[in-house]
Amino acid sequence: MRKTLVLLLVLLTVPALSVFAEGEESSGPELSSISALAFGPDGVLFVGDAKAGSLFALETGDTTPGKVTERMGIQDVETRLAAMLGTRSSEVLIHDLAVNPISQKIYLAVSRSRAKWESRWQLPNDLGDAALLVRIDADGEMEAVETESMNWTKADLPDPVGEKEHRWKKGTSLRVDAITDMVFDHGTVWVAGLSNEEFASAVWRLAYPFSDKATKTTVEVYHGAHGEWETHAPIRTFVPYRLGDTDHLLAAYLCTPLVTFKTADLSDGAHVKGRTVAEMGSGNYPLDMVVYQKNGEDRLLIANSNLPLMIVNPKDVASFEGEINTEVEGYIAGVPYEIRSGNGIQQMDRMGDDWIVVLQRLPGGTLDLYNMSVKRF
Amino acid sequence: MGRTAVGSRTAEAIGRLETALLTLGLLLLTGFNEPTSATVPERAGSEPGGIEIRFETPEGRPDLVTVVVIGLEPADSTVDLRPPSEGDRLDPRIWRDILRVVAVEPDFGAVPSDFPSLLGSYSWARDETGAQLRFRPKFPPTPGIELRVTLDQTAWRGLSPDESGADFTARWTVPDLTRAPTTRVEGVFPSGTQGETVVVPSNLLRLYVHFSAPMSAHAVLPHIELLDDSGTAVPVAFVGIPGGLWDPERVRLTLLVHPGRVKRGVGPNQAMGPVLEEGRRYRLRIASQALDADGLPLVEAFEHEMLVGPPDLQPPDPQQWQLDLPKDPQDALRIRLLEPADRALLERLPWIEGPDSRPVSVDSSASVDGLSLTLKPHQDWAPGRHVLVIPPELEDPSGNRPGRRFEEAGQDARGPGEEIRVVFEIRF
Repeated sequence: MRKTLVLLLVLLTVPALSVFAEGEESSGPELSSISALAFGPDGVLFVGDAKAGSLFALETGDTTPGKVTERMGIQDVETRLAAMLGTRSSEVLIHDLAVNPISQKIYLAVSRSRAKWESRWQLPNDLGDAALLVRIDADGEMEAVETESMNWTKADLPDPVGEKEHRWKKGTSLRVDAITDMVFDHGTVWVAGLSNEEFASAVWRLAYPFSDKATKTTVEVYHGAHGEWETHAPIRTFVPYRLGDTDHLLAAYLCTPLVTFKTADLSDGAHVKGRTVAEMGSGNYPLDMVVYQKNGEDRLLIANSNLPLMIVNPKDVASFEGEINTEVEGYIAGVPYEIRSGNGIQQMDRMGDDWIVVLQRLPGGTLDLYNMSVKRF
Repeated sequence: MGRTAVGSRTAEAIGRLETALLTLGLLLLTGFNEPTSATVPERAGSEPGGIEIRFETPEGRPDLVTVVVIGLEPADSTVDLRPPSEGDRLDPRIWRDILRVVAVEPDFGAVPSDFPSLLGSYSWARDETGAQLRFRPKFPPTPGIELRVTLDQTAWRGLSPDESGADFTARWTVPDLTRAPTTRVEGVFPSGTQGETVVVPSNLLRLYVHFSAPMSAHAVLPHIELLDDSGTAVPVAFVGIPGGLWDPERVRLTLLVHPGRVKRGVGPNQAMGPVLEEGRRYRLRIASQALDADGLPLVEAFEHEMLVGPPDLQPPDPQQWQLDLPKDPQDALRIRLLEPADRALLERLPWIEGPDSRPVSVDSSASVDGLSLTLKPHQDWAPGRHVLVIPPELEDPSGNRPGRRFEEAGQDARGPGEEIRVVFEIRF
């Protein structure tokens, strides 16, 4: 009844009906590709579905508070996922990881596509579509997340990139990059990816609960290591962050510029140039970015495909004057960073204030899931 | 088909198992006065109680497998696990502990107890055979993946582990139909001379099927039929041994013709008659669906024709065997039998005692017709007195042993009998 009422209110008040849908009682969301995960309020899991060009909000019901107080984890998580999927561990691919901030349970988006991996430049979504959500608790118990009986809502992204072949990843459709990362922050879901515009790289902004049409802003950055303005490369990972008294997005790109955008500039239909504040190294995808606190001070932690863990002090970003807008010597410039051990970390998220959960490919070949204490940084 | 006389322990153990199973079967059957009901032909793991685990696959799509347990009545369980009605989905969080289905890669060792189960849905269904518990994987398993299924009797029956009995298990590998099959049936023994139909005694007890490559550890018997001259499958032709009776390399399968139907006067023989009737022709058919160790089917089905002759009631008499003695220290000793012996037993059992009263190490090879045995020494023969020792377990294809007919076995208290010693002298 409540749901019907909500729907009715929405029908009466929202003009952009086509972007909004609510799940029927009897059917689950039709997820065609679980491309990105992010948690919202009250156990709501946002699923970015690049193939559908949509954002789903799933009410997981996972709302019992939990707090992880010890080291936890699963060695060789791919072999266990393979057993659940009925396949070889060499086929198992984890597309994204998100921790529910309420229960501190870990959610994974999983597919059976890893055997197709053939190039260092391929990312999970280039290889296949994740179809399974797995939940892991503090004891390492794994279970499939059944979405069929969940309440859910959906919002379509305006103008996601179409099915075009990637310029240099032959055989890969750009569509898989329609959604590259998502973050929920103070009632807003931020989505990064590629749009169908000439300047493809885009940021969408949606209020949650979904009510109004998403705004879309195309974005452009100067990549000092290449000495070029880039409009086609999507943001790979980002966080909303308040620098001084201004809200920003801190975003990282392939090969690895760090860029700031003022959120006030990200209005619907605008084209915005970001401010490049660092060049952090070449031959590398920044994979995940989180903010944690140490001794009461914020730090930005970045996991990379081909470089160690990086720590950036946001104060250095705030105090950085000017921007990188000419080609840099070598591949490092701008805001400094420290490195920490953590090669091969493929996915990362915060687990409360004390832990960072990582998926790390170890030298022996296994992919291990475990939580790192922020004290080690 | 050479065998080293020193032999592997496993081979010996298998041999003992064969003998033990046969003896057990005979002892049990001898005790029956009333006709026994027909047992269910073996499927992928079955037990006399009628519980059976099957792997149902649509034609050409073995990855769309459903695991089906039959013979499992909800009333057997003291725990209220039953769904509201037939066809209802069962809660997998409960049922995955009762019917545990684990998917592992080939050669995976023991499965840890905290290993995740294969995702899928459980349901009840009912057909003419009764209730069925069904498990359907959520994702089609990848070819080459092995499914290990365990029906946890303790969880199912709700009894203590002592009362519920052993868990019931079955395994099955998803075949890779994109790879071409390569394994064939090489032959069935007893076999006739090339191009001729073999004549077997009506009381034939064992058939051997030889494959060109190791076969799957999963049940093979559902894919084997004995057809009579009208093309009708003979029911309960072979003893249903879960998994089948294999040599250690899993290339030779022993089919035990149901001894209760061979042995005259016992229940199954009286109720159903003999498996093989004198004067009739039969075909043993091995369907191509039998899976090899890679989970692939056979290249083609195989048929072996047999003409049934009179029963063989004559025990083997090793004292009548003709010994073709070596003329050179490296020559083989060749032995010719007057009537066929069971080929596998003939190859495995007889051994040579040397002049020093110790066993002589030889390679032992029996001809396919079971009519000759060649013993090739590993070292030169030492001249002098030798003994060919034939253990009492040697049988002809009808189960007759030296000094004792199959019909008499199990009905006396004479024990396994005594070994036969054939003395011969080697001179050069």
